Amino acid sequence: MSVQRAAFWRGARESFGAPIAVIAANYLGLGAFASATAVSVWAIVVSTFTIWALPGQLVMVDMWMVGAPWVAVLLAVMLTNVRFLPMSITIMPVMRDPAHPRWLYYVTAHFIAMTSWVVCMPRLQQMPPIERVAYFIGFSLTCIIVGAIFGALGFYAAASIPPAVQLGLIFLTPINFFILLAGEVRERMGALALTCGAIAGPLFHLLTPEWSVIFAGVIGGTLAYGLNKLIGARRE
Amino acid sequence: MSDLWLLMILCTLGTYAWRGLGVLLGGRLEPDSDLFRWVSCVAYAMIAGLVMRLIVMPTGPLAGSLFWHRMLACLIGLAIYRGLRGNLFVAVGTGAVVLVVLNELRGVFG
Repeated sequence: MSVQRAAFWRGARESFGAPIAVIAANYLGLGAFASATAVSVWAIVVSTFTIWALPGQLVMVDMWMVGAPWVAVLLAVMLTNVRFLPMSITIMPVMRDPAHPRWLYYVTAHFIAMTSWVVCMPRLQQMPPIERVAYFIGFSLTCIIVGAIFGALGFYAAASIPPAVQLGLIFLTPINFFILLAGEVRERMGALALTCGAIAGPLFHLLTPEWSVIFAGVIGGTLAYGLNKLIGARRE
Repeated sequence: MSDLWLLMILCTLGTYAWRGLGVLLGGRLEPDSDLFRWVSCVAYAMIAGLVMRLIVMPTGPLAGSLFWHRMLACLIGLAIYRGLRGNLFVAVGTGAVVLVVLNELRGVFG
């Protein structure tokens, strides 16, 4: 048990750095956005814990404000969050350990988000399997708490954030993931997947904004997988 | 107000559905299987697509900045990240400052 407790706190400690600064800035932005609507600060704080997906939360608040039908809101939120499916499928085998009960994985799954997945996928593989779930929850829970705090801060500080600073804050999300992904990719398959997705994302967004995440992922990812096999076979 | 809370419960369940389904589907998957590799490719392509979309065609305040300013800021950030052996904090911060400064200069010089 103490090994896992130590891993939990190590995860919590290691989450502090650029990724959590980006989360703080993002939620500052979400809070500022929400303060201009009829949504209460509690809706932002609670949804950060329960939904834990910033684009989804933004879509929910935005569509609720314009009075969109619930089915449309739910569909839009689910489409923006479909990325969690392949993330969850691939991180689960990494966190598997015979000592864990099955329900623990279903609890852990709630904590999956873009930042924790990108950072923890390589990091988890450097530690013993028994520590991975605890590390991941420690890491992610810290991110959620910081997100919720900064969401509330943004809600009350919205008026005092100058536009130039707001621009910089919003830019942190794309540039953080751009550098993290492009700077850390080591193997051919990952590089191909990132390149294909980077081209397919904007392209499919032009064709069909609602479905672009699914199409860019499945078509771009399959193309990358195929190319990787092809190059591998030719090298042998 | 209460209807927002109901909607939030729906969106919470809808979002968790993907994560929970992933546990169900990934439960028996082997990390060195072809299927695992394909799903990883899909996951990375989805994220890269989303990030590139935010850089190439953003909405909100970012839409008011120039594409080449955003791209240049990202590349400078990446160069710093590589140069400083993985100091993400400095790299991301510098990139964001580069964009803000370029954007302000454009306002000054027309």
